[in-house]
Amino acid sequence: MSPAVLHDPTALLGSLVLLLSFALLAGRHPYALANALAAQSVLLACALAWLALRQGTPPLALASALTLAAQGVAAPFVLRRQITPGDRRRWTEPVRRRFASVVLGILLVAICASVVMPMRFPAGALTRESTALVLAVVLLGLLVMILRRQAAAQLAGFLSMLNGVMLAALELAAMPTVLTLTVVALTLISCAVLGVFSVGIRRIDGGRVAA
Amino acid sequence: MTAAALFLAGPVISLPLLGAAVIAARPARVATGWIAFGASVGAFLLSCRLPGAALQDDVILLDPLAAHMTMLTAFVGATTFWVCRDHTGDDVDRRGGGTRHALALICLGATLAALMANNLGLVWACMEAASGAAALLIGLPRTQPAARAAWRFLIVGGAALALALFGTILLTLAALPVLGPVPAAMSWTGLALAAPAAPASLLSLAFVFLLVGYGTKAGLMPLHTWLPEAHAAGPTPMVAVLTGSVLNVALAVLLRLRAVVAVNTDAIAPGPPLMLLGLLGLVLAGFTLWRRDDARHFFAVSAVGQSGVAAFAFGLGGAAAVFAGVLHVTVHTLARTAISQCLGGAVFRGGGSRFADLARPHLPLALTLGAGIVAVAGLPPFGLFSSEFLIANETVRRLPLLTLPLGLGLALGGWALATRLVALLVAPNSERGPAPNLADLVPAWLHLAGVLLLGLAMPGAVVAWLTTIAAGAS
Repeated sequence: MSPAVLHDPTALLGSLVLLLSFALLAGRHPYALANALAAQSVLLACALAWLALRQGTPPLALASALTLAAQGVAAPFVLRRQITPGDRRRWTEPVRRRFASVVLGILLVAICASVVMPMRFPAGALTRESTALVLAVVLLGLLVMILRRQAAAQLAGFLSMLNGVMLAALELAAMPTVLTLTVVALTLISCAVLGVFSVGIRRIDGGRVAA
Repeated sequence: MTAAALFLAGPVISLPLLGAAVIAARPARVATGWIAFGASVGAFLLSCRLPGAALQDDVILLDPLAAHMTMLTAFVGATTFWVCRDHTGDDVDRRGGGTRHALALICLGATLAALMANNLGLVWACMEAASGAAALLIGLPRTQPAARAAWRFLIVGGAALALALFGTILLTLAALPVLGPVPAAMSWTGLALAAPAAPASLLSLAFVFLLVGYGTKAGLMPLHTWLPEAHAAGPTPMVAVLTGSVLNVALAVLLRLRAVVAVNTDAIAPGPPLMLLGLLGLVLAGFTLWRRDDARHFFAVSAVGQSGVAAFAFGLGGAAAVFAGVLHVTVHTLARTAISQCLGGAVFRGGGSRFADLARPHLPLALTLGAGIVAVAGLPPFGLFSSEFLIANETVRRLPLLTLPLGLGLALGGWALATRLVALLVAPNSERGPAPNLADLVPAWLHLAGVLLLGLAMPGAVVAWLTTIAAGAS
């Protein structure tokens, strides 16, 4: 099969990941954030699994399962568990800021594209389009972390940023070992952060962190 | 990994980790502090073998810069574990002492590994391990400020390291067509060879992400917010010293990165962004210092400013500026550690960490703290004066216009420190609490003596050594 054809499914999944970054940016309630994060992570795990299948690398398949378990299942679960039914209102962000965040996000994507598109790239490894896409996912995760004040939302942004970095590593498909190590390391980090979050959230000022 | 590298670097890294394992596995809480102290002293003594060896393989890089920073970090770690060998002189609750020492040892081991690694991926992983251990250490007092500081540290540091990893991936991609196999494309030595022929745009993009990522870990100004909070919340000397070591690792990474990117003439010039971040940090820290009343916050902000000075020197580039920058990192680390070690006792005895509460606790302690402040302020008899003078000299010679912000930042910071010094010395003598154990002050004296020696009469051997480092890193 030709490399161009092989590249297609990852590109499609990558664009969906970017779309879900916007869902994360626009989400008002932690439930929405948890759902967006879960969907994003599942897509990423699918991309990883597809690559593992194509290359026939069992460790990568294992890494994709790890990602699915940590980012796709455990993280949304922990995020949801923080919210007691009584104080739903407290967790909802104002609408005005939400609109502004989406506009900022669109601007950010435009900037990413305009920065990356004129670049000259070495043949084979990574295309311009996928670099711009991955860059946008990483920076949108960062934007969520910067714009939100709640620890839960910051955590969701952070995990989505990790998803972006994993997607970047995915583009290094020629190096399955590096990719596998990266995915495993990032999954471990997300587990550690999730652990600290779920143990310490009550002391982090009831979920609010002043920036 | 070659046998020689394993023989030289292996024990330095594994001794602290082994110490942590012993502390964690030990059934009763006996001699925790002594085990930690022994492990860190062993690491320091073993690291003294490094300067003679110049070797590189696919995992370990032992050049003069790595040897120097490793020795410095191990020394500072060892003296701090001496101060923390039992829990006096520390205001945090005394339960959980074993956990604290074990985490601090893990952090130290990971920091040392990051300094000697010849692989950007490995550097990143070690930084991440050190940050994780440090975050848990900061959150250990189980109070709300500590939990918030730990969360901030974890989330800001995590985001920074995620950006750094993204930069690492881009850098690897840039070097890949030139070098081929992956381990070579991620090693410092390989990158130096590949940089001239690597695609300039990709190299520039990678540099920006690595600068933001490791710049955050180095406490450069717009990205420094995690540092003061972490210093103020955690168990005093340990956290301050260990996060200080992380600062130094990040500065060393930035110095190496600068050398790699500077080789490629089509790529972004690495000097100006570094200089800009450094100057911004120095000047803003100079202003912020005036508004800080909490002693721990105050010295953390001062560390941000001094880190900015070092970044500025590294950005300036050239053998003379790098010489001055490495000297600055060295003397500032020694002086800052001396202050942290005194501050634990002073805060404990004064009953609060505001300057007004410190109230001249006991004469030897107050005098040591005062000498430390004089040193950090960059006043003449101490080594920081020499390094700052060298940096200013080089600035005047090459970029005279930048002397203005540099001088402004140095003067503002020094002035703020001098004001606090006067306030500390004219305050009434409170004599609260038990008298300090003079043995706890010995490390601070040792550090300050070193800083004084480097300021008054730098031995020829040290000059030659720093010249070698600068020649290798610029």
